[in-house]
Amino acid sequence: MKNLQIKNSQFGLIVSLPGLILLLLWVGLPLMLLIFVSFTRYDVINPVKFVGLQNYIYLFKDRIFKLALTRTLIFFAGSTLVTFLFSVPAAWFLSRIRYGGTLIRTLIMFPWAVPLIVSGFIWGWIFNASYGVLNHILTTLGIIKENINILGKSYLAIIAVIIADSWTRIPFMTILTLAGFTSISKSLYEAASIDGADIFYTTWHITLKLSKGPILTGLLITSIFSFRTIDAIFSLTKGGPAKATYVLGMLDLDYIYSYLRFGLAGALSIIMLVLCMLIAGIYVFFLLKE
Amino acid sequence: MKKILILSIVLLLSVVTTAVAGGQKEKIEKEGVLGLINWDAPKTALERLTGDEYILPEGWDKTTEGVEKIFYFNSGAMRHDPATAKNIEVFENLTGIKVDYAEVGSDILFQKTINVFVSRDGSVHGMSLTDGPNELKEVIGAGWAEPMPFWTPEVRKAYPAGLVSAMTGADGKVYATVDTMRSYLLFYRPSWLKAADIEKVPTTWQEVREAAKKAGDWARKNLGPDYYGIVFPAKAYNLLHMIQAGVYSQGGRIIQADGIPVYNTEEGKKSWDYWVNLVKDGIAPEAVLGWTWNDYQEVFARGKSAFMLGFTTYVNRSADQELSPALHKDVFGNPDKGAKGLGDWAVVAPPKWNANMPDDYRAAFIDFDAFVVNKFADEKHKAAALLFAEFRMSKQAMANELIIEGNESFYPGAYEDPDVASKILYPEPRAQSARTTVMEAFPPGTVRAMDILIEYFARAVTGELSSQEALNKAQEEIDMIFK
Repeated sequence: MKNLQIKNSQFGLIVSLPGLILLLLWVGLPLMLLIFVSFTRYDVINPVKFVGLQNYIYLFKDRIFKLALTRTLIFFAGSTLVTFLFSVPAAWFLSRIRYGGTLIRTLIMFPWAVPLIVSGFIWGWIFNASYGVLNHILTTLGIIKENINILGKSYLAIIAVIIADSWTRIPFMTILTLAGFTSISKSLYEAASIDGADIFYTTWHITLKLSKGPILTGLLITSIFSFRTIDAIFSLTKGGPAKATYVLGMLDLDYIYSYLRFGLAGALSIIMLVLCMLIAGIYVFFLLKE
Repeated sequence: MKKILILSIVLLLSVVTTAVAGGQKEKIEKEGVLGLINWDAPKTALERLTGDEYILPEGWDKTTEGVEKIFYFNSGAMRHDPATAKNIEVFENLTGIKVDYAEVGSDILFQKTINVFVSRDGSVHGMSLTDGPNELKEVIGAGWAEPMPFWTPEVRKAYPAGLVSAMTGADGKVYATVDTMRSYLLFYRPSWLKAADIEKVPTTWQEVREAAKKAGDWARKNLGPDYYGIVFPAKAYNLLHMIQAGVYSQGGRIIQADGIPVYNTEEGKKSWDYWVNLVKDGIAPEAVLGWTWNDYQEVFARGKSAFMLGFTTYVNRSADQELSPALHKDVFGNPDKGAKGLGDWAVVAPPKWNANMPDDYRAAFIDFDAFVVNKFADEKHKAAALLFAEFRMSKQAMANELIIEGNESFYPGAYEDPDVASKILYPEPRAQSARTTVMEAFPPGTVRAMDILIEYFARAVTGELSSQEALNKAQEEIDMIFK
């Protein structure tokens, strides 16, 4: 029995092994394959050929890649900002509700359960220029005289996809922020109150400052998901009009499924992965600093 | 000793079973579908296909022995495909093989199909390709489709040459058949034309523009802002069908002698300008930039547009009061059965460019969903799927498509059957459209070219670029793909 004794660190390694092996199989191996594919000309018609960095060079010179990268940055920044601006106040209000808080928290989670692709369709009907409910309401209220072509105008379409995307992300961010808010000791608020601090002071210096961790974690998840999302855009605008909502994910989708250029799709996926890691790195830096 | 004996017997039996099974498999693989089915018996393939009732080929039962069902991807919901449902029923009764299907939305059908092919998945035996003219060449080129052996030289001659050519690979074999196909007709609202004081139903694109402008102006003044002269799709590939209609109506073509698509020919420039200016001049709404093939026809079905160049399939849909209630009222909202008792709508063949053009130029593009059999399916299921594919291009199946669903017939002989003709709505303009319709075979890479055109069309419509500048820039990028 004595021989079976192992150190804690060794035991930890042993119990982690199955998970590690699965991770290698399901993440490591596909990633290796993806990296390999990204160095090939792989278009299903011609024989597969190793082309080195040509796919990457092609992408960095490609007008559509540059356009999609710009749209992605606008979309991910917009979606993260809208999610942040709505979820933090929502969490603040929820943390102060005395009655029915559980019910409201449950209700607020509903949009999170809606698949993004469905969210796109829902908002597509709402924004429709001909029979959309938003135009109907605005016309009935006399705010507009003619229907607004939301999905047909470049600057409005990008806002529309940001709204459709944020709508499903706000609940998650709200609950995460709320968890941060409710974990703050009440004694801090009481002490601040005794010292004469008003609600703005306590919100800024206690609630928000002490919840930086959960907020940053929520923003990290929201940012990464928004950066690589295509679902809502696919069902709402398909990247249009005039590629105004054409993000990198859509370009990747087109390379795989429409143009059947798997080598380019692989290179684009790797670029997106690196960009996601960069974004995550910034958040992790601030989280660790916390 | 006893244990060793039992073990040896089990081992021997396993080896024999494996060898026998392997031999059978090898036999099927060696002889293949062609070897086991005689497509020209009991009658020739052409006779079997073009009779009033389809006849199964000799040997079909032995080849498909043990196949209980086949599975395929249907484009969209089956409730919208009553003719397909009927044809499945007939095929099941004929063969005893159940046809199972997944209803896959047209937006993601090609993606799902590619997934099946790339993963060499043999469990999906057949697939529909929604944008047949373009997607088919990619699938054939990739070697994913099974050649269809019933396409004998005699059969090829009996079906439209342009379509057969679009389904033929570089090796001369035909790899597909038509799932559904539709051409285009000009739809209009008689009561709207009358109210807007438009005396003549337009027969040229120039007349369409004038009439649509007049109808749109009248409606916006008398009915409200969300009424349009004409609607069309500019979000997806069907935009190109509109451009093509303009090109063909002048006698032009997109595909040049070297097989490369060129959109900025003289005819192409005029057609491009035409559709861009319809929006810029307020005759069509800018919302077209967000509309697919389904959206703009839905707008017409809701009674919001005076004209549209719509699928022939929409003849049946428009006649259905439940599906298109607004078309069974006049433009003022009063019940209106129309001259033919089908509602306040009518169709004419696609317009020609101007009055100087011959009537043969009243042509549009023919759009079809192709049906392919998965090369990676096992031989028996492949054979069953091939039988299903063959049945679906028979006169019997095509008559169902024409009568029940309003799709066009891949087999032209179906139109000549008086019984079938008597059951079709608006047979004259449909026959004319079917006769003049143009089928061009687009090379692999066209899907990307279309994306470029759709983007530049939107940039022209929104005023970011001038119409011709947008077209020329689009063509420059398209040239980079093909040259």
